[in-house]
Amino acid sequence: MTEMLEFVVHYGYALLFVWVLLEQAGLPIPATPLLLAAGALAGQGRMHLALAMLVPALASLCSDTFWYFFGKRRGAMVLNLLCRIALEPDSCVRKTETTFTRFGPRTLLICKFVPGLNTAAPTLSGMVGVDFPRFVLFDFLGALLWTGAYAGLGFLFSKQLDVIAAGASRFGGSLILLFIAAVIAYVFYRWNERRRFIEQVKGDRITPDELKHKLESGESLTIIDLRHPLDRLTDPRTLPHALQISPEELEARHGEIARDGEIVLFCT
Amino acid sequence: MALQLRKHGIRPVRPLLGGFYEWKRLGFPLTEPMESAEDIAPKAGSSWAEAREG
Repeated sequence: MTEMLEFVVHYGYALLFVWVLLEQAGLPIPATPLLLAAGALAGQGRMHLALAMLVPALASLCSDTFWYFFGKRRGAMVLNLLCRIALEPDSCVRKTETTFTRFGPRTLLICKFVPGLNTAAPTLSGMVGVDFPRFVLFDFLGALLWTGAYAGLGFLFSKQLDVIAAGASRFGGSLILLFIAAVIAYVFYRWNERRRFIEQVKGDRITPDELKHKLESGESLTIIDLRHPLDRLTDPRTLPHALQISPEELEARHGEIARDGEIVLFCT
Repeated sequence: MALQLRKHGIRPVRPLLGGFYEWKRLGFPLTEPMESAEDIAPKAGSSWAEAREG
């Protein structure tokens, strides 16, 4: 932590700006420790707290604006691309859309505190057509809330952070190794769970050619369109004879699904 | 979703490889819209509709 503090002091606000800009653009380089460090330095009088909050908030707005316009132009493709780097890409798009449906652009106020939602929410804002001034307002306020929370924590506990840093130094590298090992173990566990799930359904998938052949030959099957209403706004058409039932409606409407014949599911 | 349906005794369940966009990319038949954009918009959330109006 001491090295982190010295690193931040040396490169100052420029470092804060660039680091947060890149992190919000999608790079896996957590900015939280840096914000904590900046707050701690402000607590020691070596940085200005307001600037330690404002500079990274502006950087975040810049990155988010890029994703907003990219989402506006490329829509669903961008969301799928961003969710590909998530630990649960299959549910990432859905979770993002569901949260955005419930809270609208207010999602931008809290998205930076929610893993996965942070990267996708600006994109979704552009995709669904949130007007730009409204996006800037909510996004900047959300960014300020985020930088304020962590820089503020660092500021409030700047003395305690020194104690923690001193303790970490005493333990030497073993504490860091333990932390890294815990992160690796968690990521591996999530990856393995997802791999097992994919293997389970992989063998059951149907190709578009196969489905088209079955439809043309008149085979008995039920097709379910699982697309979120936001996806259907992009293209309201659907496959022939498809039932439109969202995952949220499944519990209530599964009785409508015929038990004879195959069931084919699709989303975007 | 496939697992959820199986819990209700609905099987076999087969996800479509590539989804809607792959079907569309291959130029396979699609039906005319079952709902208009105005019908779908409320399901997408009133917050979204308000945001679009600005």
